[in-house]
Amino acid sequence: MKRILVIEDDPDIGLSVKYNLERDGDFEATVVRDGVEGIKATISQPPDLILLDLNLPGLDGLEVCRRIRGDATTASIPIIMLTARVEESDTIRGLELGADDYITKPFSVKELVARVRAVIRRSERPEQDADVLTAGDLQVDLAGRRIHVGDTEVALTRKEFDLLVDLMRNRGRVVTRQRLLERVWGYDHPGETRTVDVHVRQLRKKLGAAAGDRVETVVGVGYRFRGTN
Amino acid sequence: MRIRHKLLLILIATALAGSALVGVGSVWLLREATREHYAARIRAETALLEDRVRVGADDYQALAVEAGKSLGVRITLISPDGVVVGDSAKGIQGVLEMENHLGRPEIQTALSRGAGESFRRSDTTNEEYFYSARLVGREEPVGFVRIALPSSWLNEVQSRHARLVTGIVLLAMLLLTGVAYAAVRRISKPVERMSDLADRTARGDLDVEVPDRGMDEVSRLGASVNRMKRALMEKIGELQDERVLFSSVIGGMREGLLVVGPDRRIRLANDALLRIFDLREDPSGGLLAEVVRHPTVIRDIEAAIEDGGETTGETVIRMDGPGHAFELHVTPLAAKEAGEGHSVLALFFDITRLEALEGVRRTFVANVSHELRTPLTAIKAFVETLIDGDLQDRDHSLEFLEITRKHVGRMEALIDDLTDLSLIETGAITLEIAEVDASAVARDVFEQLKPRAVRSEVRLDSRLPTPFPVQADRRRLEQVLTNLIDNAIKFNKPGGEVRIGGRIDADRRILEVEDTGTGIPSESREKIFHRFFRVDPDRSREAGGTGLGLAIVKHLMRLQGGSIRVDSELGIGTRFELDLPSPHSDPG
Repeated sequence: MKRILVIEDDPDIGLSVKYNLERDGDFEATVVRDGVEGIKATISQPPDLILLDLNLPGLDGLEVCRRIRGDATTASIPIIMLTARVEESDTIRGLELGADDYITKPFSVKELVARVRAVIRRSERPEQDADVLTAGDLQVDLAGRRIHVGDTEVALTRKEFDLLVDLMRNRGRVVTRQRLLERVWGYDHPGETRTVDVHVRQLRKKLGAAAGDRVETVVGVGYRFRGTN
Repeated sequence: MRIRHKLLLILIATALAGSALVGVGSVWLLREATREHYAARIRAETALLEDRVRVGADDYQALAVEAGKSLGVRITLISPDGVVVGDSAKGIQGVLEMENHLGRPEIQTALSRGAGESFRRSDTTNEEYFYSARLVGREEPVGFVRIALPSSWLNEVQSRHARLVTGIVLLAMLLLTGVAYAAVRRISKPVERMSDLADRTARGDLDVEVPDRGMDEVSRLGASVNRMKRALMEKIGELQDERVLFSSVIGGMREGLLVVGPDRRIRLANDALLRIFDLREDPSGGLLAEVVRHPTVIRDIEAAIEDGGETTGETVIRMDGPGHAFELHVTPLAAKEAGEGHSVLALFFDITRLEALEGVRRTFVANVSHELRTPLTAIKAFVETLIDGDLQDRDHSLEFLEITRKHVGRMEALIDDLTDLSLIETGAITLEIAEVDASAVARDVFEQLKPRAVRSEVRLDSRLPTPFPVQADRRRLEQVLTNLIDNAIKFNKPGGEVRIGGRIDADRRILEVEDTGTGIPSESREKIFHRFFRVDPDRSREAGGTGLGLAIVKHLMRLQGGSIRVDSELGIGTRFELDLPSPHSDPG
């Protein structure tokens, strides 16, 4: 059974999340109501995943995320942010601080549980070592740097290839434009993110409708690759 | 040289020349006349003497001397062969020594024509003389008589004449000069005054006029000048009025105004602009880039100078210091010549307050959306959970429905409070201010909140005198007291107390609501009246608070002509004082 730590200040929302996570018997959830307690609980008994409300009294969610990522023993615990704020900037900051995903309030509990499952599955089966990444009829040969959609080979530029691989390795997870710039282009200038958009557009066109649609735009934040192995 | 002196000089020169001509002419005429006069006399005397000589005489020398004495002239008697026989200027011995006079010009002329004259220097006396000679006895010559008049005498007469003429001329000149001066003065004075007037007008003295009475050209000119000056003064007056109006308009403008010429120099700047850019003095004439050290402003203005482009409000500039934001509007003015570059008008609108208001609004919207989203999230989660098939689990279902109901209640309360606040702030509620018995209102509120107080084990205690009349709107006063007493119960501790009391302070009525609760930290005491501020957010929400109650209370008190203040001690309790007018005080 996987252990989930829910850091959420509203006890009723905490209760509904706990109830739904535990209902199928796959998870055991603990709810704490502020950031300090959350960090304490994370350190004393590291959970398999943390659901973190960004808008917490006292120590705010972003700071909690930063501290958990900053400690070697807790750095690899997956984090899904719950945010009541519409402001994109905090969400992006959270993703940049290393949060794995986010879900906006008011959320559907079913969707939340599905996200929790997806993130845990990914964290258990890292794809970094694989030679071939697949998603539906999309096949990426990492060693030979070749891409097939069904039986057809698709020619991609170097950047387009790297971009696709980065998104696939983080499948199900939002990757910010800034992250992509840093990892694929090696930039660290904010404001050059238009480059990413242009390449994503090219990539989708080359992959065709079915495979191209797997590269989803997360409005105002970045991109996410949809699909299982 | 002044016009008067010029005229005078010309007049005097003319007079001088004229006088000189007349003088010389007169002297010449007098001289001729004098000579003629004497010649005639000598001629007559010579003719008289001729008669004497024709009669004959014994001693011609004696005759010459005698006649010379009686006539006062020199008389010479000469024989037909030219030998001098008598001369009044000589003795007998002298006569004998005199040379032959037949060669003398007057004798030669007399010999041939009977009479002769000459004007010459005498060889005998070495003096200038006027000689007149006559031949005595035409058919049978007896001799010649000659009278000589010394020219010195004549000259003396002539020079006396000359002096007289010169005197008269000088006198005339003097008189003429005086008259000329007066005349010139009469003409030149108005001209000079006109010139003086023009000078003084130019210097700004506008109250002088030239004399313009009279019919001559100078007077007419004066009248024209006066008319012109009055028209000019009127125009100047209008211009000055316009200038004053213009400068008070731009000076009174709250917006900063800047006019820059195509040469990038400042043409005009108003006081507001000086304040915006912290300038000590009028920057007119200075270079744009040196006066306004703000790259965005310079960029926009330069662009407008170059291509006549207009920017309206897209540029917001921020100055040093907290919250100084200005919207920049740049409008090119018509270029004087094509291709010359435009003058540019730049206006700076202060949007600091607007931005602050916008910030308040944004925060408020964010708060409302957060406050609404939290219950909504809970409602959505539980409804979904119930739909997913937990309705069989009756205990859980009821619990979840109860939670859902609680959150619906929270949303409802929030929407109610927001509506109230919005109505109050937009002035859309009408109050019915009248005499109200506050003790009765307090009693009703206590009655209403009693169940909650009992649940929280809090005692309610009214120490208000009965009745305690105040000037208020009954319904709103009830709302205020409900809010305050509800809070006092919520933030109390079991076994605690909520008291309401009252006192009279001049024509004010003070209501006091006191509790024995947790108290408010001093740093939060003013903030409790702000919208969505909560001292203890968890406890507040748990108790169903919206975070708007005290903001509404404060507004309602103000609307009723009263005020509210708070006093608190941590761990001891909190006391609110409501200040309301007494019923009989003047509502104004």
